[in-house]
Amino acid sequence: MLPRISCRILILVVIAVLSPVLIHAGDGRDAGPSKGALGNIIAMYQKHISVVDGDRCSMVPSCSEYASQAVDKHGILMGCIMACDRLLRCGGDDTNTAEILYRNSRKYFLDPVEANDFWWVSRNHANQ
Amino acid sequence: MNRLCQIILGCIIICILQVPPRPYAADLIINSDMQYDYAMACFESHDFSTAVVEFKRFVYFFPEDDRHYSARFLVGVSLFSLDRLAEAAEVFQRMSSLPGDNPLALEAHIMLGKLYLKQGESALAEAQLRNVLMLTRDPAIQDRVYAALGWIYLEKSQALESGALKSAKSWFGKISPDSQKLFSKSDILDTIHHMENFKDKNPILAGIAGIVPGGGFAYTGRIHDAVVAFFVNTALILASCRSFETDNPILGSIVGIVASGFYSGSIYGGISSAYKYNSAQRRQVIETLKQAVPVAGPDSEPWGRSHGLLLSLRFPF
Repeated sequence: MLPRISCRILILVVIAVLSPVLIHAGDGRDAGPSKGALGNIIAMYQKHISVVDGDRCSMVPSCSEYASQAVDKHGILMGCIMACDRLLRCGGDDTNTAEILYRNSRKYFLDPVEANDFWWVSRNHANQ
Repeated sequence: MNRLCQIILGCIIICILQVPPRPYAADLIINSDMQYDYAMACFESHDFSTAVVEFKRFVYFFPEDDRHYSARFLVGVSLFSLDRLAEAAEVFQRMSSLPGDNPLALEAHIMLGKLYLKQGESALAEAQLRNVLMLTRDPAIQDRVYAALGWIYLEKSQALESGALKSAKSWFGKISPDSQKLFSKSDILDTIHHMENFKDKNPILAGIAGIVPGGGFAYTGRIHDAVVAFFVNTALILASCRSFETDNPILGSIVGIVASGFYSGSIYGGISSAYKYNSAQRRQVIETLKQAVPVAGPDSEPWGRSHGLLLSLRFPF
């Protein structure tokens, strides 16, 4: 018999992963080219949590959008690794070197997926 | 009252008669010189959208004029300047198939190279420029192409493409002594030599250092990122261990999965930051070089009228 708290956590994870109704209610959008469960988690965060929490990411694209693009481009495993890397770097030393954008009088730092995978993507293309 | 009306009417008639007649305006006949001059004036004042229209008008109304081809070429250059690249490509592709003795055919090839570069297709640009080398033995044009190819490889070296610096050095080295000063060959070769001796950060070492959370970031001088990576990874690993110790295997597993993601991310970030450091070093040097090196020489052959047409190969594009 599992401890009660572990059961609750497990139920929460299941709801988060398998809840397309919560994510796409009323908007008629497709789930996108990705990523199944992971895409659902990111989309649910963007739709329900980020809206309440507010747009606080100082980088462009935002961390959730970056994660989504990374997973789309490189698959779930590399996408997750790149997303975790981005979460660690967000608002850190990259702000000293990244290109600055201004949107709605607010300063953002440009950090696309291409700026973080150029060193192995180009080599893969060269080898192919 | 009647008398008053008559006086007013009389005054009005006198005023009308006093208005001087409009001078007779002569008809304006535009000849080919006037049309071409106007189009060229628009081009030289960078009013490229008007220049496109006026050069096309010249081509339409004066198809037998000697400047027909140069007008068509300048339509292409104007379209290129307006970023209407698909239309410009069409113009240059048609012009590149002109007979080989027409100098505009070679210029069209060069412009196609610039166009492909602007579209980010450096391989196509390189192929186009190599075609020019096969089509001409004119050293002035060859030197322009050598310089263009050298710059393409210099730009590639920013992305840390292997062999790019060596290729850039090779192309710049082929520039003839006559054009050495024009293309700042010695300054560029000195810069390439300086770049070859850069103290790069080793990505493998960054990866090994990343075994300690944040070590890879610290190796490349990113202290903020290193501290964040260290604390986040340490907290997650400790949380996972603690969960297992307190008989919460599911929680421990979930936190463990998250911790492994962040741990992998910190190693990846360390390696990536080493590559980014090396790329940024090269980018800075190349940007400084672009500021220092003048435009790679105007083409002073006269096109059309007596004044020359600037068909320089500008870097950056």
